[in-house]
Amino acid sequence: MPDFRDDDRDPRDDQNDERPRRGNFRRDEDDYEEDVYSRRGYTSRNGRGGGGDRSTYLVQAILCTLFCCMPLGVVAIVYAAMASGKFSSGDYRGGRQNAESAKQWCWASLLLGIGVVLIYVAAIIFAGVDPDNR
Amino acid sequence: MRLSVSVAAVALLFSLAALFPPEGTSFFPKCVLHSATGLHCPGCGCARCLHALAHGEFRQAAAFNPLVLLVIPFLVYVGLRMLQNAVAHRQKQVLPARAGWVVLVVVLLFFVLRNLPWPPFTYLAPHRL
Repeated sequence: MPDFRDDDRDPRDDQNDERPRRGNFRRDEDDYEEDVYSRRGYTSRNGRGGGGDRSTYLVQAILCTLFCCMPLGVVAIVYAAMASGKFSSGDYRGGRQNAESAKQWCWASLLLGIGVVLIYVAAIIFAGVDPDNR
Repeated sequence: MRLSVSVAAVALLFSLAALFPPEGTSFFPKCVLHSATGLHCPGCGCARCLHALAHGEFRQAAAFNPLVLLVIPFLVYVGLRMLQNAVAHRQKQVLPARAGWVVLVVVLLFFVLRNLPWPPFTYLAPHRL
């Protein structure tokens, strides 16, 4: 959407940089933070940290632990628990990072569980492993 | 959106466990940890548990995996809280902050307890009534 309010701007005046800039420019304070969680959309918007996305992936971690692969799922639960603790104490960035870690461990658990199933099925089909040795 | 994907996946698993005949068939994979070490992981018996649930046998389901039985109302509760959030257009925290740690402790405790060979704890291991 073209911004017609800028039609009267004189480029020579941009040296002062006193007009508020619209758009996705990084603010000066953002230059000191290197990770994505300090950019727009993640900083405080309505007084509560983080634009409201407080998902901790705890439920997914529980499901992964019980149904896919237990060791990796437990790691996901640990990260999800840390995330919820950090969210409640106001550390939004740490909470988001932990939630992302929980999500990654959930995926790892899922993939490992599926991989194990595939290897098991392959072993039955190709190596004649006895499936009734429970 | 992400949570609905996992809900859909669980619903799929449940229907698979329910539709197919008892887990004596070779369709379901055996738990690797169990085959290798003989231990029961916290999820051991979940397929048999869901199968028993689908056939209405609650006591048998509890005998296979009580943790999965408890997780189901927990999931329902979380789902209702998320629904509440969505309906009211707010972002209240769905679970209390310490809930994650409680879950972790319960899962690990369950894992340890169900592998103890003494009578009160053997009821936590998958067994047929």
